[in-house]
Amino acid sequence: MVRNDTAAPAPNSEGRHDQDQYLTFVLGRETFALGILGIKEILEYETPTDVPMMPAFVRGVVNLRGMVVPVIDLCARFGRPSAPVTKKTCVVIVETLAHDERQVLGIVVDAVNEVLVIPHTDIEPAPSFGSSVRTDFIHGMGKVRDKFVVILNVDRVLSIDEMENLASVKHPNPAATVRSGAEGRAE
Amino acid sequence: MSRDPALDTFIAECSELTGNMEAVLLRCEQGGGDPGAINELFRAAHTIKGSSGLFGLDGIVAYTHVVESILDKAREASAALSPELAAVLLECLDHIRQLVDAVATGAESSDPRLASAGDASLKRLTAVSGYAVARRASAAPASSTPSPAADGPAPVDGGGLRVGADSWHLSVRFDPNVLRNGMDPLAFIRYLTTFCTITGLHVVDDALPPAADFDAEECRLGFEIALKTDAPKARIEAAFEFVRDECRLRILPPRSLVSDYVALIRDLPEADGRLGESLVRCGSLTAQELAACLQAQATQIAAVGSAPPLGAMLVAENVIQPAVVAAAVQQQTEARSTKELKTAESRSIRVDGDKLDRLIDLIGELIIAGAATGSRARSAGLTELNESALHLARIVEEVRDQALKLRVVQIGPTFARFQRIVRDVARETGKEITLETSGSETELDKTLVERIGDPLTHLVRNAIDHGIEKPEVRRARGKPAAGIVRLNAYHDAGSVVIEISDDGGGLNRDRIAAKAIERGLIGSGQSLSDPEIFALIFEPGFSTADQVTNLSGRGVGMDVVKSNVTALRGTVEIDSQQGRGTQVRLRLPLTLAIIDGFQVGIGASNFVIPLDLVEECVEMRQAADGAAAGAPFDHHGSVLPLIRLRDMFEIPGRPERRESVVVVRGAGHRVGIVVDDLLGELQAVIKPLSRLFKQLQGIAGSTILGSGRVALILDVPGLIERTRFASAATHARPRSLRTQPTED
Amino acid sequence: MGCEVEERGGLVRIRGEMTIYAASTLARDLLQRAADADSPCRIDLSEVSEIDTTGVQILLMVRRARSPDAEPIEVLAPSAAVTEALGLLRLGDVVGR
Repeated sequence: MVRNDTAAPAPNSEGRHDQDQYLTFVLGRETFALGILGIKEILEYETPTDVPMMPAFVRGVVNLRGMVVPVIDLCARFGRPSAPVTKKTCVVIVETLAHDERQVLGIVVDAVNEVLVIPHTDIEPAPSFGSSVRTDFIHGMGKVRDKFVVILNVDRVLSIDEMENLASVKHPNPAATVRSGAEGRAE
Repeated sequence: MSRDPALDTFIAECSELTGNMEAVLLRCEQGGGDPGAINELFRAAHTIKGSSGLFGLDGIVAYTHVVESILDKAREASAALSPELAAVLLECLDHIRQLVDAVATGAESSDPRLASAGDASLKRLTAVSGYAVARRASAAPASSTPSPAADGPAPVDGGGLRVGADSWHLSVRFDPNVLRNGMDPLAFIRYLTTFCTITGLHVVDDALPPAADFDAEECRLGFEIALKTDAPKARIEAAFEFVRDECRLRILPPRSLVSDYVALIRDLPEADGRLGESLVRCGSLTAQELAACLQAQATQIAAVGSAPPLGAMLVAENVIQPAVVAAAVQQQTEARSTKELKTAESRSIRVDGDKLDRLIDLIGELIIAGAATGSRARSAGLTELNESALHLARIVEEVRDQALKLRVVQIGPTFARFQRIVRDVARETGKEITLETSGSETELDKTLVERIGDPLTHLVRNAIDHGIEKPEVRRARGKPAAGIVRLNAYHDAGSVVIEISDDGGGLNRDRIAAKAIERGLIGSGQSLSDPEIFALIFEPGFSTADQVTNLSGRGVGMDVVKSNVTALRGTVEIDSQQGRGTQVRLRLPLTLAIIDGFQVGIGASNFVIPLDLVEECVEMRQAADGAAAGAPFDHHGSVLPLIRLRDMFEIPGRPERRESVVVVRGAGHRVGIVVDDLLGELQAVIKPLSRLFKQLQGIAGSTILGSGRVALILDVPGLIERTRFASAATHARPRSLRTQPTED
Repeated sequence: MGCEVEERGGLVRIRGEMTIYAASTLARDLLQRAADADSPCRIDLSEVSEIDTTGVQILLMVRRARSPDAEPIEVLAPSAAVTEALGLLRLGDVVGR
């Protein structure tokens, strides 16, 4: 059930520190990267159990050895259409820390690529405009072999607070929030 | 932090002792104190002091010593425990609790704030009681009175020093009922002389009460005996065999360590000075040795941390093994004897909560594994294998039930804690409050009890703070001056219901509505029912109190109460009548861990309904098409509202065959849930859902099926609430607000 | 089994067994007398045939119940039984003034 792809480090790295290693993966036609420190494991895709009344980016929940873990569709989270499921589709299990609480989440990716070492000197700040993904989702742009890879800020992308808010807007609790004509975000 | 288990026992027993003391003090404060109260308080304080000493907790020893000494003087003078004195003693009790808490959490024992709070409370105690107690040790290094040990060679801990007397020392304290039971202490002492020579004896008469309270048939005498014999210790002990259960016997061999005598002095119920005299009188200690003992105690109290703690010292000298220390602590609490108490304690055992949780986790895994085995057995089609699997499942179910019962406790002790809280809050607010409780034997899961404490406390404070009026106002309204807060608990359809009600002024519907409009929570044109208006007070940041009071308006508000209750998969209802009072009803599931469930299928999705709530399953005979959400269904001649999960949950597809209706009961309502397939009973180990799904109304949690797939557990009361409000709001809300089209 | 208290000419004589069986009554009687600060209290123990811990306790209580302003209690003529018991318990100073 678990695939592990590791790659040889870049030839002139000066010593392997985990915080310099990034897992790269494909969403649609773009490649993204995530720091491996937060990554717990990678699973083959299995259809999650649907959870009703949740926004499209919540695909559902899966059973991870007895723990029920939500699975997030990153394409939907980024506001783009989802790609169909193929043999290469994986779920990357990520652990984040928010308000001193450990959150374990899975993200659906279309394919998993190699682990790269990107020293922090090779990381440039996110562009203030023009990127295909929300600026605050980007941790930085990593320079790899003359190309740039979007390194995601996993704490923002998978922010429970934000996702929870979006979920409650979609289906407001009718007992408590009878709003007069208010549409859209409640913030 | 790993800790000496004996220390855990000490902390737990301090908790019981302080709890008892609190109950006595509260009674005395309300004028119901009995003459035995001071004695009881003294003994409890003395026990705490003694046990603390065994663990070298000198801060607690020093503080408790003052309290105990003042109590001692009070009882000697046969003083009554006035309400004022009781109030100050409650303060001191709180401080003792804080000191013990600091030990429990491993906090710094020399916290200056704690120390100055302690000094202040002792000052007040001295002032109110009218007794001055010389502190055993002065903290100030420059003391005007030269202490004898400052010059003399007596070592700080008496360590290693042995007394000169080569006689045994026997300390005997009899149960007051020993005489009534036909035993005569004199006879036992006489018997001793048949194989020992008594070289010294002192009758300890400190426990003799004033003449008015004297019961001639009770034994109030103790004996300190020095004797010489060649017989072994066992023989001396055996002399008291027939009264073994009715006396406390302490034996020190000849040439014992000074520290042993220090421990003895600390241990015995009489005041230290008196005991010391006793020991000198019977020759077991010389006057100088006594001075060394008392100095050893005093020095240890003064020099916190610089002398090795008595317990460690004793252990280091191989005099007392840790197990014996634990046993000694254990014995301390047995001194607090009524036969009943002893019997109750022996019928139950203390269990580590973590171990119990681990056991329940394992049973959860056992259930899932059993279910997987069962379904594989079924598909394999082998009869005998199937039978085995069924048999296994039955046993596992029983194990589960028994294990869950271990976690179940009564809510009574939680309710009892509120006596103190109500008393404190009443004082702070200048109101008169009576607390009534009922249903204390109602049982619920231990974790639930722990987690419901804070919300309950907030609700009770709220009832007193905002609900009950001041006495003058109440009288003007023709109500009795004392307000009533009532706590009630009972079981109802698979839930535990806890009600907090008051006979105060009730909620002001209009003011709440106005505030809600002001905050944009509702529109000014909307008409909502009273329960809906009242429910608005659970919205974050909502507070109609004119000033945010210290007690309840801090932002630890009703919204936190609601989210705490929701996190426990519970619901909150609130009702109120202006001028008459308010009732808050918390509904909580009976257990957090494992439930019996009924599995249903809708389209490709599977859900689990708590079996407790299922009344029956009925096939839908009416045509499904065109039936509107919530349309009535004829069930045994009465109308049953329906919930169509397919619509509510936006499950794709249409029903392919005749649907069924699962009739369920929740939150006082009966409702039918329309489903495609009835998939049978199962045991569901409840797996919590991520915080992401917190606001989902209608889903209580998840479980893992035998197949390994996740199924969602329905929150029936939540579904019902959602349906009720949706249909009520249908008539009030403008159409544009609906987030999904309905089928009308 | 019995215990009697007899008063004659300012002397209170206890006759019989100073044990638990009569303890309550005896205690009440003696403590009352002790509490009466105006009258002298002289207790004659010559005819006490038997004494147990309750009896000893009563004697101790009687002394305590006496007001320091009143004339001290006098316990006199202890019988053999009383002497033995008080001797065993090193309570010799119960006797006398």
